[in-house]
Amino acid sequence: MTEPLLSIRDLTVRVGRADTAPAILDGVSLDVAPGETLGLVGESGSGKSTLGTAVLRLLPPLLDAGTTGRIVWRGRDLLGLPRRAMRRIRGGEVSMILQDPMSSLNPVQTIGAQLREALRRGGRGDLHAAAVAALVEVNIPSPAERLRGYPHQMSGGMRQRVVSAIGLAQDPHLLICDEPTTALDATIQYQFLELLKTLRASHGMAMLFITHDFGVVSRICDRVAVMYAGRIVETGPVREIFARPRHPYTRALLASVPSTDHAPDRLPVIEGQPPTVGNRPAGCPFHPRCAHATDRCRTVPPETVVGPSHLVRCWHPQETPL
Amino acid sequence: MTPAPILEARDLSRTFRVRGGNLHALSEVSLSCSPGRSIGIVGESGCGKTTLNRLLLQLDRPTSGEVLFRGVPLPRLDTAGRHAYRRAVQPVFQNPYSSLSPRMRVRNIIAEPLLATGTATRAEAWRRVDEVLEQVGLSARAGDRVPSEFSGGQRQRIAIARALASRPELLLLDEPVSSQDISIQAQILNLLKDLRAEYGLATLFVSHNLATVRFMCDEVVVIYLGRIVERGPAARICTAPQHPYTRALLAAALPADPDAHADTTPPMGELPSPLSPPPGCPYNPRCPHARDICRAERPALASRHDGLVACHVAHEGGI
Amino acid sequence: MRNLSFNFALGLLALFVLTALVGPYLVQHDPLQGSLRARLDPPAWAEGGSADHLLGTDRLGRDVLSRIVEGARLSLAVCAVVIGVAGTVGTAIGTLSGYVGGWLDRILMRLVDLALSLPVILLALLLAAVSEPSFTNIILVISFVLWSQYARMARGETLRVKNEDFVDLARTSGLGHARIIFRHILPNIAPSLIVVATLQVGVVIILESSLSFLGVGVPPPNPSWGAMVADGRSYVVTAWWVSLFPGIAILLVVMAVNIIGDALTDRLNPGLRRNDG
Repeated sequence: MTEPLLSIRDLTVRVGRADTAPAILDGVSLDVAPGETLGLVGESGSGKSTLGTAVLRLLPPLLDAGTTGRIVWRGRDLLGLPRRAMRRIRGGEVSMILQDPMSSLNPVQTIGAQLREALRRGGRGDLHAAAVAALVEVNIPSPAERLRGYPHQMSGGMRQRVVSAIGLAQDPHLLICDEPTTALDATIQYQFLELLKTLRASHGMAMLFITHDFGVVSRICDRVAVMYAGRIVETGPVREIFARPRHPYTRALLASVPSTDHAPDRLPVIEGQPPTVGNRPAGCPFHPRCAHATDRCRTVPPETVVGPSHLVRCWHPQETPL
Repeated sequence: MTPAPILEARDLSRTFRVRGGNLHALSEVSLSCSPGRSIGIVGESGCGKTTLNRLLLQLDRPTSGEVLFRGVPLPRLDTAGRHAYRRAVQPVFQNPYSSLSPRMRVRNIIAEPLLATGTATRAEAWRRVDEVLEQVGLSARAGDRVPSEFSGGQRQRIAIARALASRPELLLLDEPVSSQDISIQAQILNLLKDLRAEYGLATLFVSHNLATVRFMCDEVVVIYLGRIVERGPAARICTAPQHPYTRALLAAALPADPDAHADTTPPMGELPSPLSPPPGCPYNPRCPHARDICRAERPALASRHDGLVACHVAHEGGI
Repeated sequence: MRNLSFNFALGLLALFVLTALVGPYLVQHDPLQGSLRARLDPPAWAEGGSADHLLGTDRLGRDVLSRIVEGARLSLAVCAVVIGVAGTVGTAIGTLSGYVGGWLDRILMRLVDLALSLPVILLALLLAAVSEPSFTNIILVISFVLWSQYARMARGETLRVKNEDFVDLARTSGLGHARIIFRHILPNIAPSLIVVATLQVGVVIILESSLSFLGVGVPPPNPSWGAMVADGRSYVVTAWWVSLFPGIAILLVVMAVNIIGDALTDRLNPGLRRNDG
């Protein structure tokens, strides 16, 4: 097995330094191999965005102070890294694109100025030529003209492509995508995902893809980690997870998504609501909503290997294919 | 024979004057909501589905065309007719944070449609509030609390309870689950379906999501740039779409299946500016099948198989 | 620290209101009745002072403490009436302007601009020149200056609230415009207006005092704090107490309401807290 690019071990993020402070992330471990795309799926409040932000050390000070564990990036623990070194990694080796492209771009600067700034930090020579090439790479028509334009003159889909061009300016090894398609229309999302696949191949980069949408996951990810209430409850290769999900939460979530192929009378549902941070149940956080829960689920389940690189955190992993 | 429609839109158009010209938000849209029927309106942002919803609710006036309630144009309803319309047609909006006044108790929010048209005494209204709260899966005690004490999913249940309070005949649902988490979406969709069966409700379900519409509706209307491009039975639209745009939408509705077939008609291009829609078929710049006629002449919405489609290519024998 | 100053301010304000309400019944001297034998008596602790006049007397031998207490009542009355008048007029105009929009909005907002550009002191002097100084005059002048701030705030807040879905929902329930304004708009814009009102207590007291100081405010012999400061200014060196104590009263009350107003702004401005997603 190749050395992982990113290796997160026992990452816990609390609201403050105290051991008793509520934890947003609770002992999360995962690996991302070079060139691999790992999907991070979960509902709001599951901690998936916090995880992505924590890798770049961009959490608000209170949460940053409450961060423990290890985030090993190419052999170096980012949690122990001085600010300057961290700044070099951010936007350089690791870069990020967010849900709202408008807030990632400066509204009073031209697209060109923002792109050239990123390219300059990447040490490119002819900035203008590089900027044009960067826009061409993300399929933006009449790039020379667009460079003189401002973000508000573009559509949401185009802005998101500009944001990716900026994110890729320094040839990152890892691109963290935090719900980059959620604000986009379906047909634009489709095209953007196709573009990301092309860029991933041409740059040979790995991706950490945060989303709540299983359709998106199946389109772009190699592996997937399902999060619930601050924990990873199941992780494995995409095909394996979709064909043989073992955790009751993964199964219920997959089953509850409507499909264009068939229309059942009712959707199978997960009763209740996801717990809020600070009100999470002890043991397996899913047990109050779980159809298979027993008394044992009040204690934290261990991580069990149930297949080739398929791990599940559950006392009662389900056997039948979905 | 189909029963008389509750609400009917005839050739509805809405044009907004904006800097830079006229924005044709909606053009010549006709549809009717009959008892027990569920229609889905599908389209992407800016297609005019929200404008349509507002016109049907008389929150906005059409530039041309009309909306009829039980055969009477809305502006010509008398007071009794207007009250009947307000009771019979109830909306649920997308954002449950914005749709509940933060300074009112849940009880008063839900009772508002009952008390506004003077159909119920206070005592009757409070009884009805308790009833609908339980129907949407909340306890009657929830009535004494304020919206900020509830989660997004619970708020949407309150909004649905409010819509049910006046025993409506038609619910206009504008993206009622798209701001919710997946596990909550399924709960709300099931609830809506149950309530529809229980009350024999007609529904108009506006959504960008074909899968949700397939689950919720009998019939689907696909809108692009303010015009209906295709309509037909939900099952057929989702399996054998006729219009290239519907095909693109279907391809873009990514199934949760990594082995799903590669798409024959992947979506291309972006939505053109509604300020200067392309001549001919509005979809022609993005359409992989566009011919000369598509750039010259706007296709009429005409029947094909068991539905309607506005596409030259489809009419000439299909794609 | 923040809480401490807030509580202190709240205590001061309570003291001010209490003084205004019951104080006049507790003081021993008639605030209007002077005694020629007791002119410019110093405060009790100074040389020559007596316990009879704790804060001394003014040039007509009136008890300074009694006058400050009576002045508190007067200030509170002016504040209440002005904020009531300006608040009602301003809120009505602003809410209407924001709710109706269009040409009415444009006309009303020009009116607000006009009101904001009028020099207040000049206006008061002008009014005093054409009519005797009176209680009504001062209330009219100050209200005329202050209503525009409510109008601005009410309009902005109405524009924000008007676009919330619950207003559309109320319309689809068949509620009329008047009921929408009273049941949905006003309760939701009220917090911001209360902040404006609180911050204006200080402004009103200062304006009233300034106008009275200039002699175009509350007519004598009523003991306005401003008029008292003005009264004492010729004796500042010899009889400092005549001006100083009413001055301190103004300072404390204005400071207290400003601290409270700031705290309210902090608490209410995040206002309708939302957590979408």
